[in-house]
Amino acid sequence: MGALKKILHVEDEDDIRLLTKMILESIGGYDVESCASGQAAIETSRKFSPDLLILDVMMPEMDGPMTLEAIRQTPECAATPVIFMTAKTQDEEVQRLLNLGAIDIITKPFDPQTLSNQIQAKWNRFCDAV
Amino acid sequence: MQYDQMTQDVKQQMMALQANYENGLLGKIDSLEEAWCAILLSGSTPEAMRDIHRISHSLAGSGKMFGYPGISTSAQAIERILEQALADNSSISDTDAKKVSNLIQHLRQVALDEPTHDVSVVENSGADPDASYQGRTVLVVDDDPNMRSLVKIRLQAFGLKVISAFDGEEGYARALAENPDLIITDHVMPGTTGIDMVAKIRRNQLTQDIPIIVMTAQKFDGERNYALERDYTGRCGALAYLEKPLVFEDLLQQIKRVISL
Repeated sequence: MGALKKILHVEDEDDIRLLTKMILESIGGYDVESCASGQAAIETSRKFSPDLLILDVMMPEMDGPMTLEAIRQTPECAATPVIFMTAKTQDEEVQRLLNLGAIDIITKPFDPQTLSNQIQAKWNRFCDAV
Repeated sequence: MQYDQMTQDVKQQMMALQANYENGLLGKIDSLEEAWCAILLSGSTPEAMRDIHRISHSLAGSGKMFGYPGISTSAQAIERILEQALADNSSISDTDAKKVSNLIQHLRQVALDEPTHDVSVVENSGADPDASYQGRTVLVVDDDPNMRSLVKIRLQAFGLKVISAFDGEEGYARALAENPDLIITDHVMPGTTGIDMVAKIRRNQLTQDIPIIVMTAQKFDGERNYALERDYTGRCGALAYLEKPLVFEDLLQQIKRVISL
């Protein structure tokens, strides 16, 4: 695992999606592709080959876990690390998402000022553990 | 690009995103209210409950991030009620229905008032909150939601509480109800114009002494409209007449005159 450069972010809420992309690009310096739905993310993941997936959990039609399952079918993203974003902080929910293979969870609402550092720290911890 | 410039650029982008969020906020609350009215009229169908759940979830997630913790709290409460009803495959009880109605009203009120400082996206915008501004309220009256949002965000960063109105009629009502320390008003607005609103404010003993700053894009033959400026600053006793596009430092200078009086 090397440096974190490319992030695919999937979020159906326009305001949050725009804010996240702006923060990760401007502050984090990452190359970010954003998708408004799981369906759109499948094709984008194939073309973009991200280093990291950041998936909102609660999305209409195709939620975060369903999106992950679909993206995992693409050879380019079969093993791409994923961070879920969720408003639910109950232990059982967090454990459920970790059991799906997430390397970590970001709870919403998140602090826009520290999001980029959070992502990098989670990536670093993941790399150290591999 | 040097770091300092990048930070300023990021702040500008954040402010634009926050203004964008605020512009859409009342529309979302309208949609929530419509969906709720549909339930009150036709009963708790799963589809209608899912609509309300979806909208309240959206507001709950975004509110706090964009400086509206009250929106998040109330929307989360609505979300929980709907989640429970959907999970139980039951309709919403009368008690919960009253709660939802009250929460929607509260959402609208919070959206019209100002976000608090502690979770604002631009909390660390680089402006230092001025101790002399704490507890002071500014009423911004402008039919342009972008202008309302931008002035709100900039003034909040200095520690001012900012409330808004969409037109002259609402501006007068809020001036009467809230007795702000300062009013900043546009001139051209639908219905009651800025000058008619200011004249009304001056005629009422309760509001006649509130300092007023006018900001307007109104020109006369492409030049500064001195006649309008005289009407405001002379006849109506406005503190200052500023032209749009607004130079924020000019506005701040005028505000400091009010605070130091």
